Amino acid sequence: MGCVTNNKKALYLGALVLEMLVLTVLWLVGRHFTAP
Amino acid sequence: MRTLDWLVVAAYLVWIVYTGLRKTKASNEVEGYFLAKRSLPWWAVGLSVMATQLSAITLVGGTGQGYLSGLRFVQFYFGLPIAMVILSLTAVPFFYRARVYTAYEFLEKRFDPKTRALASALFLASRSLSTGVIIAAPGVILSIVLGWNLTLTVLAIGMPTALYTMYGGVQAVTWTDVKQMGVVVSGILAAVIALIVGLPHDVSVGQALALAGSTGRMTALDFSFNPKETYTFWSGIIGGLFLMLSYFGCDQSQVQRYLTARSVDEGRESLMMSAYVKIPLQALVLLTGVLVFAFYLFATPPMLFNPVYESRVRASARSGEYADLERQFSLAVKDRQAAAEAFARAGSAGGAAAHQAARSRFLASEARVATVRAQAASLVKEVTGDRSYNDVNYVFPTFVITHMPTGIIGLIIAAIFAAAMSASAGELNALGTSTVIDVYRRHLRKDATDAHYLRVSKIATGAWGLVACTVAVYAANQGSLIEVVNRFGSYFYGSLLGVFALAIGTRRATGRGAFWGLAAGMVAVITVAWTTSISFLWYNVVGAIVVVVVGMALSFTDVVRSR
Repeated sequence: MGCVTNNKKALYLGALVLEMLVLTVLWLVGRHFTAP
Repeated sequence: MRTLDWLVVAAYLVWIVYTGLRKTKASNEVEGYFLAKRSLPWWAVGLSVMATQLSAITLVGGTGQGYLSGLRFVQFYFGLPIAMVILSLTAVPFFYRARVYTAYEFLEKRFDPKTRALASALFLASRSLSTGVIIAAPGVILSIVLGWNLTLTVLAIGMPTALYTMYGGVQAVTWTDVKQMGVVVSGILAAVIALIVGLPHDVSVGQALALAGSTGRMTALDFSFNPKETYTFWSGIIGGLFLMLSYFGCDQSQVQRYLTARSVDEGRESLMMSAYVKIPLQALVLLTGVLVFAFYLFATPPMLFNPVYESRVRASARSGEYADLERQFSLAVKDRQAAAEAFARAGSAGGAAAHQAARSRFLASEARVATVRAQAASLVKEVTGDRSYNDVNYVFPTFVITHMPTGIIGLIIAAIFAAAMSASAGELNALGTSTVIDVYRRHLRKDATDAHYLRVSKIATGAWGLVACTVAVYAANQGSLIEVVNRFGSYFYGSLLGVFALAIGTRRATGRGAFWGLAAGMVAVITVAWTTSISFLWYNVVGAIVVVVVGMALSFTDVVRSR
């Protein structure tokens, strides 16, 4: 049961961490390609 | 379109209808027809959730947005992963364990019949119209770009969808959604590869993106806090969160998807698939549009992408003005092409000063192209009288038809069909379910046999298919109706979210509070929409908060009175 709970936590945290990573990548890509 | 393209589109249609009609296993009972006896694997349900949300307008409009304004539209989805986590913790276990067929059935269990009736009536009214629009919008675009008959195009999308949804129920919807998502993603990837291959040999992808980036198209994040601006980081993460909570948590077309999962956990996993994949997928769709922009820096784009409006201007008394703008556009495009080549070369060789000079020249030439295009769009608005003229949805199909190789054209047209069909199938299925469960079985015939309800379910789904096709044909011929229906739908989402927040989030809310809170929320949203210029993403925040505040205040007076 504890394992399932941990898996679910990892599932949710993973999504939020991935979102932050994607946002960071988008920000860096924007900066890189927009810089004069 | 050549014969091979026609064959690809025809093969797609036959494959999907065959899949839909074949997947009727266990659909001989109401629970099998509407909920697949809660037996579907998480990955199939997850793909179905994504397919239902991804309509043809998401695909062609997204690429068009990428072409015209770059990646910034991706901010619309920033609230989605957070919404999915919240729903996985709240709505999914609540709905699943309540053993309901519809989200609105849960409202009666928690509050009273009238709150359920109002919520389901709002769903049926707004979704029946929006399903028509989901079918109509790509029909209009494809008929204009490809010169097809409008009514036949709309029916070619709507009728097969209605047929397999009616016979196969939710299993047909889910398994066709899985395949349709495959077709959509293949279409996007094929377009990206063809675009990269289609760039001039001496221009790398990095250089093409740097050119697009210098115009601001690679900037995805806008941190300014302006409620009138539709797509900013804040509207996406706050307004988008409320919209996604409402859409995935309160709209039957999505709730029904995860109620078909094998368990609560598989229902959660199916929603979480969108949390992981949606933003990257949407960024890819927008990037495709950015690459189309980069491609047209080295080729000649049409001045306007809607040929029907263009021909109306050519046939008008102001055709001379239009021809003059076309000459200016042609010169500006040639100048931009030379400036783009020089800028791309300056990136790899030459000093900082040369690079800066090439960049400035390119940006000036791009501004001239944009100015002439804007003048042409104004002329179209004046001649046609259509003040809302916008060719954003025509960019990608026009590019595909004129520059893609044979076979890929067919694949991408099939992908547009797939997006429209998968989105509308989920809606038809949900409309049928709500009609039978919330209206027929609840109010008209309470104790009939399962076989009777199954028959009525198929008739109701088929009837909604006919309604959607009729609305689609009508909406396709009345362009402005599409806009009206989209706006109409955005009035209710936040308020429905507020009611479900009262139902799931607190034990103190009463039926009277929920019902009048819902009514107050809708009035508040309509007032805000009509009297202010606040962007629509914030309507959901307003609606949800008003419902919760009014609902809790009335519930509190109920509690005091009962003491």
